[in-house]
Amino acid sequence: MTATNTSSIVSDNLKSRIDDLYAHYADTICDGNLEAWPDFFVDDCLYHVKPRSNHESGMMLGPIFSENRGALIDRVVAIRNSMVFAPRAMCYVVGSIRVVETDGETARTRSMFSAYHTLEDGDSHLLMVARTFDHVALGDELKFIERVVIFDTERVPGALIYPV
Amino acid sequence: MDDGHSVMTENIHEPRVWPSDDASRVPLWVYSDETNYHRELERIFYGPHWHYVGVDVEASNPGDYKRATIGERSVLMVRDRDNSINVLLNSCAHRGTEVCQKSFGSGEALICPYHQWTYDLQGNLQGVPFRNGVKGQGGFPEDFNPAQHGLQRLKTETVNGAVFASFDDAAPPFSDYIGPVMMKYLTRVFNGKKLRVIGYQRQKLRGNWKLYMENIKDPYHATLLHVFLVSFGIYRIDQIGVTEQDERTNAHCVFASIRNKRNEAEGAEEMQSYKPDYELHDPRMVIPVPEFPDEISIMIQTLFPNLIVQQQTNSLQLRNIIPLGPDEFELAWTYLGYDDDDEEMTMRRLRHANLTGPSGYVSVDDSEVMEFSGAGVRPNPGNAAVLELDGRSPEPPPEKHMVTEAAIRGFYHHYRDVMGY
Repeated sequence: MTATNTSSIVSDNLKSRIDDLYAHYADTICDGNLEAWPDFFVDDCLYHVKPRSNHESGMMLGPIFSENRGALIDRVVAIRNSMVFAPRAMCYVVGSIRVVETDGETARTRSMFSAYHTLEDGDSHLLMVARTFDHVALGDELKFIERVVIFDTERVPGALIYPV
Repeated sequence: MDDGHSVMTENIHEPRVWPSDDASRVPLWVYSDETNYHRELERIFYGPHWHYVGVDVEASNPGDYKRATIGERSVLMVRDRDNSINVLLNSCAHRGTEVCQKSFGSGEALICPYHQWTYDLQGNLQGVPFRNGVKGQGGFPEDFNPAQHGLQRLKTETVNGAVFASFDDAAPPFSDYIGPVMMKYLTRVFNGKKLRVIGYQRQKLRGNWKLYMENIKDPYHATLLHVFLVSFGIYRIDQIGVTEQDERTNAHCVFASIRNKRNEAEGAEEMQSYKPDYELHDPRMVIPVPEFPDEISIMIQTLFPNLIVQQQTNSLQLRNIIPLGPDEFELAWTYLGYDDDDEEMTMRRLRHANLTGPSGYVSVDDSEVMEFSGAGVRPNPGNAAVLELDGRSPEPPPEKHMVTEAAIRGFYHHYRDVMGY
């Protein structure tokens, strides 16, 4: 199996750095530190959140389609200033993080997560389960060149406010 | 049974009474009452009204089908051998099982997985296993007539690719149902060009389905709630625009308007949400290119009972509101383009779609307000909503301006008729 061979040459150091990237990404959002979120991406990035069925039918449409880091900043500004929504806390559980392949400069990675939100009534609800297909630049700081979130929970309960 | 108990029972089942003789009041029980909800299913969703089921390109080839929902019932939009579209109840005539489970599928025939009752593409029962029994045992009665056991076939009409169906044969022809003014706007988007579906989005919201129709018939909130729309001049209450309603029922409505230039806001002192200095790093999601023969930059059409057709800059969407009981609904978005769109246009439509759906810069506000409304009306069925912006009449203002709640009054004026209140 090629995939196994490829990942077998991924160094423990890289695996550990990628794991840390995903954990840091999740805790940044869960901590409510949205202003730091765009810094996980290179300037010329793609951030795309779309339902599985659109994806599997070859359709690109999804809730969020951002083609550069500026568009991510726009979203943070909107969440902070223009969008009207009930307060909520977010909790992400990220797992199955794997380096699919790397050329030393960048790495193709993937992960799975479940995201829960808790509104003012104090009940926690599943917001979505999803897989991510990502491309990471391996500089001094790891940054996403692409983060594509394919979610199964197509009938989104309420609204998807915060980034995933 | 003691007196106290019987009085209580009577109150629960007391016929509901509308609190005014016009539609300027809406009793909040219309959003939560179970009996009222079941009456809506019978009279509105399964009655002589037309319901959106899909666009014909979703079932392109003979044998292709798409599942859709009318009221709470699953139906199948099926492409027939002669290329016509049939809409069939997705419930086996044998024991009621759903025949098709996939959202989209294809086959020579429709076969129920439970006992393999097999239907043709028009819903006619073709055969049943063991009709003559096995080794002389069992079998169906000699007078069993397959012709009497087909899938229920709905009355169906197609308007330039948009497919509508009705459970009730008494439904008038579709063009009479929505009327000439509404047809003019519907065929502005469904203009005869071949369509392309560019994607779907779905949301589940805790509130009554009618709250969403009201929201779309309400230009009052749009200029106050939606900072994003207002700040970018995509929609403001002072912009050039028209309210049109079907003059016979007042139940179908269109708002069509032309974008303001930024920083020209009349009445801005009353719009706390207006933020003229708000700038986007990537403004492509609000930059339109003209694609229709008029200057309308935003057109929102509501067709009774539960369909919304919207052109917002270059984003073309249908929103179908599917009730899930009195207190919850699914909002099902279908995003359209035209088959001859080039790649640049498709990308533009994708960018503009950032404004709508579960994360939409504009639509998030509405999804959330639906839940706030649901939470506020649920425990207060004895209260009534007040709809008096621009008077109490269900008819649109003669000047056709948009500073009005007439379209919501129009909806409830018709609703009272249909529901017998």
